[in-house]
This record gives sequence, C-alpha cells and structure tokens, in this order.
Amino acid sequence: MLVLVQHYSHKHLLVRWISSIPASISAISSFTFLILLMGFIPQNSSETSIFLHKTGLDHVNRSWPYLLLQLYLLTILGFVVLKRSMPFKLKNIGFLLNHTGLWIIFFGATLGSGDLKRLTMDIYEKKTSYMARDNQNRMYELPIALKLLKFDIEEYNPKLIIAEKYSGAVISEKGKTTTVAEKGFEGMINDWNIKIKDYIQYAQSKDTVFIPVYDYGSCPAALVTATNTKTGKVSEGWICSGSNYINPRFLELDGKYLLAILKPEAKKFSSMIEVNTKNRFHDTVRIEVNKPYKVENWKIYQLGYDEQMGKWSRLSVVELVQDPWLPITYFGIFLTLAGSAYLFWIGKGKKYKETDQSTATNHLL
Amino acid sequence: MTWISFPLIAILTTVLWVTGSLALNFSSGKKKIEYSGIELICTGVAFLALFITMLWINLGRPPLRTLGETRLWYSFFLPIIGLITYIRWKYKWFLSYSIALAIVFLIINYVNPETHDKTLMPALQSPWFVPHVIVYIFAYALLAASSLIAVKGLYQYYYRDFDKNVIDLADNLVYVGFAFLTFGLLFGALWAKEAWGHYWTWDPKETWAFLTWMGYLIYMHYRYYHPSKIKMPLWTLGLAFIILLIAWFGVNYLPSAANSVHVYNRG
Repeated sequence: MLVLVQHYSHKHLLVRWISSIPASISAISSFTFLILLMGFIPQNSSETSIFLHKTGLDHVNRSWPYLLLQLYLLTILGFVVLKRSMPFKLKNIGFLLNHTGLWIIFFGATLGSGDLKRLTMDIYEKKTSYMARDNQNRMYELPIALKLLKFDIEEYNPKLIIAEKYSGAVISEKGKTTTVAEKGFEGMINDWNIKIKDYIQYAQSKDTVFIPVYDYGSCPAALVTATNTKTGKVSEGWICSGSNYINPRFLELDGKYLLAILKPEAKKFSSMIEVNTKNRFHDTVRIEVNKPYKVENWKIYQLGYDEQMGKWSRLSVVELVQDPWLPITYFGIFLTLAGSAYLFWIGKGKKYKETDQSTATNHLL
Repeated sequence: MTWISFPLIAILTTVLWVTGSLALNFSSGKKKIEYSGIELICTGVAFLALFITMLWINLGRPPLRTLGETRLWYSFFLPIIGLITYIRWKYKWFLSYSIALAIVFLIINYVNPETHDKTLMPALQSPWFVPHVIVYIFAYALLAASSLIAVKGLYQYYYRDFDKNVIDLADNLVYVGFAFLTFGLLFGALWAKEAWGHYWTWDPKETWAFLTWMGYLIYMHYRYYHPSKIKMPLWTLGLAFIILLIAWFGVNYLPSAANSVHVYNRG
C-alpha cells in the first residue's frame, strides 16, 4: 500500500512532508518522549496508583498514543526508504540497509506481538504435563507434552561471613562477602584468622559432625578454626548453610559475633526433560538458561524451580515460546547490523574529505 | 593478578600516560619527543591490558560484570580511541582529554575498590556476554568522547569564536559510536531471545538503552537537516550523554528498575 501511494502521489504535499527530515525528527522526538515516560514510571507494576493506571502512564506501550505513533513512524520510515530507493543508487546502500532494516524490525515486532505466544508450564518429576498458562493465568492445552526426569543445580562454593549475633548484620569486609569456602583455605576476615580444616559440598549432620551425603536436603558444611589475632581466642567447630531439612549452624566467635556459611549461589541450573508431541515425535533433552530447545515451532526455555527446595527441587518451570514473525525480525536485525558496519566503515560519508581534515588539523593545533 | 595489584598498575599507568601527554604537548615540533610520548602512552595501555588479562584468568570469567570492572575497560578503550583519532586526524588535545578521562576512571576504581567476586549468574553465562558488553563499552567510550567535544564546542560558542571543525569531529565520533551502539543493542536482542525467550521485553535497562540510541539518532538527523546550526545539536549531544549515563548505571537507582533483570550487582 505504501508503495502504491508513493508511486502515484510522491509529489503530493502530504507525501512529501511525510518523507521529509523534519517529519522524521518530530516523530522520533515524540516517540522518545513516550519512551522517557516508560523509563521513569514503573511499567506493569502491581503497586500502581489509580492516577497512573487511569491515565495509562503505567502501561505506555499498550496505550493508544503509543500505537498510533508507532504506526506513524512506520509510515514515515516506509516512505523515506521508498523515496531513497527510487532510483536505486549504490552510494545509498548504507542508508537503505539501516532504514530498511529498522522498518522490517519495527514491522515484525509490532505485527508479531499479536501472534507471539509465551506460556509457562510447571513440570514435576516423573509426571507428564501438557497444560500451560499465559501471563493472565489462562490455561492452554498444547500439542507438546513434557516430563521432568531430573532437575539439577550446579553451585558455586558458598561464602563465609562474620555477622553480629543479635542483629544478623554482616560485618565482614564492609558487608561484602568474598571469602569462598574451600578445603585448606586460610585467610583473614576482619580480626579473625580463619582456617578451613574440612569442607563438604553436600553434607548432612550425624551426631555432632557432618558427613558427605548426596541426597535431598544436603547442604555445604565446613569444619573451621577461627583465631582472633587481637585477643588470641580460638574457636573451632562445624558450620553449615542449612537447607529446608537442616537448620543452619554457626560458630560462635565471642559473645558478640558469629561465623556463618551462606547458602551457595547457582552456577547453572538445568532440567533433563522428556519431550513428546502429537506428531509422535519423541526426544530426551537437557535444557538450561541460555540453552533453549526447539521442537516443532516452539522453543522451550528453563525459567525457574522451587526455590525453597533449591538444588533438590522436584519442580521445574519452563517457558514455551512461539513467534512466527521471528525470521522477519531477524532479517531486519541482520540488515541493520550490515548497515551499522557500513556506518562504522564510511562514517558520515564523502562530505569530509582529506583536504577538509588537514585544514581541520591546522586549525586545531 | 587480582585487584590487590591494581593500585600499583593504576599508578604506573597514570605516570606513563601523564608523561606521555606532556611529551606530546610540549614537543615543540620535535618528532622524536612526540614519538616517545606516543610510546609511553602505548606502554600504559599495554600495562592495563595485561592487568585485565590476568584479572580475567584469575577470576575465571570475563571481568565485565560489576561497574568497577566495566570502568576498567573504559579506561582501557578511551586512550585507544584517543590514539586512533590522533593517528588519523592529529588531534593532540583530544588524546590528552581522553587520557584525562581514563585517569578519572582509574582513580574512581582506586578510591572505590571492587571486591573480587568470582560468581557469574547463569543468565550471564553465554557466548553473547563478551561481545555484547565490549561493543557497548567501546560505544560508550566513543560517545563520551563526543560529549567532551560538545562541551568544548559550547564553551567556544558562548565565550570564544566557534571553530566548525569541533562539531565535525563530534560527528565522526558519533557516527562510529552509534554504529557500535546499534551493534550492542542488537546483540543484546539476539542474546535476550536465547536467554529470556523474547528479543525485547521493555526491561528498564532495555528502555534506557533504546532511549540512548534514540537520543543520538535525533542528533544525527538534526545535523543532517541543519548542517550549519551549532547550539542545538551540541546541547542535544550533551542531553544524549545524560541519558547514556542513566542507561549505564543510573537505571539501578530508578524506581522503574525495581524488577529489572539487568541489575547484577545487588547484594
């Protein structure tokens, strides 16, 4: 439609205005203003004031001004591309790559948002699920069934901290914790020299000590000796971070301070899942963050797990995404990347020739 | 090598850079002194490169996560951009400016030492991590340089005679910087698709990155339309840089960023 209008009435005043730079600048500026609102006001927040909600300021990108302006921008950009591409000249290639690329991205993203499906599915260990919900909790039956075989978290070694006994405030290293628990570690935290005599990544308590047990509820434990370099007081004992089965255990340093081991941070979390589709497709795969799995026209992402259970979670939350417009948007992204490479290489273009540069140099020196 | 050796490296680098700039600016036309000035600056950059490499090896992950780590890259890239502009266009004053700015970032890191936290959360473990952040830091360094020039231009405009070449240099830097900004933004989009399921979700960091991009877009179009106007584009360049600063670290403090997935240095 844009092509037809441009072809038959490119001399019309309105078409000429719409393909002009002032039109572009004003449209980009107005759009920037709307996005600035989004930048300052929390969007789609549950704790919003009635004023913000009524005026639409808490969901700008679903408001009428936003949609209309986006359409207007798309029109302007379309006309600008058509104006520059007829007749086609090689020296305009950078301009065309950038502007066409952007137009395609915008086009794909705007129209694609209507067809985009993002659904969340809870899958439990040894159970098959094919129901997923959208962000408004509506349930959908999918042509894909997933079964969780095993969820796993690879963890970093936990950190050691010194905290105040009653307030729980971390006093070691000005509230920042960097001392990592490892067998054989020796180092200073504030006034205490800390030695780790033994360290077990997955431990459970037996009587007064900890032993390696790789099972539900296991947590990191360490046998530590702490010597106060000022008073000479020595404390020794087992500490553990605790889990939903085991209480955390601390080492009392003196009447005021405790040595504690924090819960470990996740390095990697992944789910081993069994995939079955209505078309009798069958596969067993591991999905993890940054490594989604594609089946038919769906992509499956690792999203979450039961955080109370952590590593021993029997639930994995996955997201299923379908975006039929993605190839179009990607094509636009590819064109824009090429255009940017051109921009990097050529810069502003032929206006600045070597002669200008050398006079510029003389001026500035 | 860890952050413990940073003060030593920072002082060494600063001394090399300051001596190099002095040699360059007071060479009074003697090529030999000029070359040794450049050599000193390059040695400083090499020291910093060595430190970053060793830190990378020591941490076992790219040092690109915390603000302190990105400041390190900033101090590394600024003199390089200064050197490139010097080699290409012979702007001595610009090389000195970029070195001064790089030293400011070294000082901030010296006063505010970052802890050597080794952990890297799962979302950041991706082949996209390094290109996305390095391209962004390089873009930010270039655009910061263009803002320095805008300040110089505005000073000239209000108090001295305006020299048109100042804004031409700003243009050159903005064009190259904008190319990198676009790369960073689109790499981010491609990565987001792999990590979070969609290429654009209007996360506060994304919103502000997009705003930065729009700011420079306005500047470029305005310059193209009114090549002879000076005041308006220079102020635009200044404003765009403020938006860039918000996108870079200010966003962490905005109420709209309470649920941002991009805030990595909390806690």
